[in-house]
Amino acid sequence: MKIKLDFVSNSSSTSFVYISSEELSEKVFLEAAGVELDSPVADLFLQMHSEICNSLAYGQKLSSKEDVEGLTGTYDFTPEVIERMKAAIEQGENVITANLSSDGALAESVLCMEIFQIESEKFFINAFNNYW
Amino acid sequence: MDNAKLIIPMSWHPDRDEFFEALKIRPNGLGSQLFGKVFDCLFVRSHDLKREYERYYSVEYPTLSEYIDVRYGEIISNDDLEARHIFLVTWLPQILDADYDDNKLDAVFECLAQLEDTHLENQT
Repeated sequence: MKIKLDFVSNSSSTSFVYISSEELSEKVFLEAAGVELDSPVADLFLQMHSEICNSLAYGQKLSSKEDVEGLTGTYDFTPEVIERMKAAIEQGENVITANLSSDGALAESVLCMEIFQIESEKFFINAFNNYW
Repeated sequence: MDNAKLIIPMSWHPDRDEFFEALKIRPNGLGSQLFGKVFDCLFVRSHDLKREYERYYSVEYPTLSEYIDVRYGEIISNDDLEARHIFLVTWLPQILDADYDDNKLDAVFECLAQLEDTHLENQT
């Protein structure tokens, strides 16, 4: 959980980065999240997948190292994640930054409030950053 | 006085790995990160009222029922008082929050009920 001290507004948003050479499928997302398709809570994670995909559709695709360096001051990704973005661009992978809002449905709101990173053979998501 | 959000009588102390197994969630993923917090909220950070009473308050209060009533303002049925553990939860994570229509409280309770049944079957 992310904790904000001093003034807190009613809503918040979190930026995240998605790195992959392919679109994020439900199966791949559930596998990486460690949730079986017949889990009694699978619908929550399917909804998370949908929210992430919707967010990515409106996200910013980064095409060059300069694009990544241009994030300085706008986003607050760790130096390791910034380097990973640059390396991914060099290897021809898609690097997309997008946002999640706490005003959304449960799935999006939970993702927005959570510090998380998902890493699999197929994709990488880092959502350590948060701004309010 | 802590306000009770949930009171969960259990015949055994739930185990985190069994909880994940019942939810069909594997360790070390986003699923276990989120539902590990649910487990902690229900069974780690909660008050185990029976243990609390037996350890600290049985001299002060003549019965467990009276202790729970006076201390927490809750009336517990006789059946529930027989449970080995009575967990009182004062805070719920967002995933279980009733303000969200699609919260996972029912799914988690069904999972706990299955675990409870399995545990009781194994005892007999």
